[in-house]
Amino acid sequence: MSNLNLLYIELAICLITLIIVYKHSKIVGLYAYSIALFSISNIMSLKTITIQNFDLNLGIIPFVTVFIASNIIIQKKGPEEVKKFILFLIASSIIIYLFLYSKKLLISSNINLFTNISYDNIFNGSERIYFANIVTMLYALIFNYKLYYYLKRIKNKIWISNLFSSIIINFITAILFPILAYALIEEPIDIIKLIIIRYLISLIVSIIGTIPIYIANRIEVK
Amino acid sequence: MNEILFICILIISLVIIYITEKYLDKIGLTVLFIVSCILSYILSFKFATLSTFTFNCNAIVYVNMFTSLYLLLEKSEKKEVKSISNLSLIINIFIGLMLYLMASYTQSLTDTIGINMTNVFIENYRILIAFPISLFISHKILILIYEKVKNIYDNFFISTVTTYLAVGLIESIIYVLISYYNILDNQTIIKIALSTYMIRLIITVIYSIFLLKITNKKVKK
Repeated sequence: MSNLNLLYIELAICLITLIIVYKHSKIVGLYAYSIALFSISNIMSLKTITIQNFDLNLGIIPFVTVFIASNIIIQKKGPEEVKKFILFLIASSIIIYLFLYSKKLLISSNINLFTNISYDNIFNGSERIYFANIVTMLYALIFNYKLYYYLKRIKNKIWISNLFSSIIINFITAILFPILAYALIEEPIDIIKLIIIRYLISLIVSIIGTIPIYIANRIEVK
Repeated sequence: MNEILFICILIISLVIIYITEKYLDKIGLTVLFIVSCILSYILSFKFATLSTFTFNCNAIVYVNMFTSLYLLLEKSEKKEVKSISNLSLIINIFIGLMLYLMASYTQSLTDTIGINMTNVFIENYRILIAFPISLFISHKILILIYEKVKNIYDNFFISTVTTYLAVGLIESIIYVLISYYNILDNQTIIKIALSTYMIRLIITVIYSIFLLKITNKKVKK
């Protein structure tokens, strides 16, 4: 299956799970889902794929879906809850990386040796990309909740708040991540190409993500 | 080297549990439970050695997960904990799908990680199925047994260790059978299951003594 089709499947899985989880456990579900999304995004971002002659890191769809989850929390509970949400998200992703990295240092057993070695290789040289992803997420989430809430107060329309905050936030994340992860390693032209493709994909995901926000808005919170 | 690292991870885990239990209450324990579930899933692909034991790398995190579930059972209603356990199943299925999908993408020409992801997540697809199943069953049995043991002996140490003795064994057998039956020889399968079970049991005992001391201190105050 082509990479583009796999991206569509990934997007569908992310958005459907978002709705299922919210329906099942409301805000707690969104916390759990976002932690899962961000952890998986951090691991996925270690792999690069090619789409339409542009190289990009995987994990962009789960990364953007975290913003959709965060926007649902703002919509339902307000900005105070989002501050707690950001704290839990960043703390848990640091803990997850700490454990993954320390387990990589454990000397592997000879049983299933091939898998053990491959497993360790996944996290070789992962520090900078992981760090870039966490810093970008932290900065963008803080900026996003302030902007989304400001737009919500001016005009209480979900699509306006989501669209305008997406345009700005995705632009910032599309620039910040490649610079933090690849500056002085990759050629400037490659970084610019990465910024363009990341911005395009994240903008499309954010716009489609307005649908789950509308659906979640119709589901009552206890 | 492995022994020192293992002890360091154990101490860090204890500190995390202590902070969560003391300062973050139910939501913190729920988050810790989910984080432990995710970590156990991702770590379950690797085996390491400790002295002569070969164990699954998720041993410590796995006990973290069970411990946060015990603490949740102490602080919340059974229905609420069941709901959190169901949520963890959904999250695990989601993680499994995403890991499989991630490994299925065709990597770019410059990528060196993709082939390792294929070796881990596609070649061992049975673990992707085995883990959520064994975890869900073990959670259900844990909730059931813990309540019953607690009604007989109202002691945290006895309840947790007794519950683990039953749940850990069932989980280890289900997980190892689905993941490695017909891949590894029977002797190796039994060896892995028993050594992982034993190491988790030792960690459970350490955690239970530690948590018992904390709760006793609280009562004294």
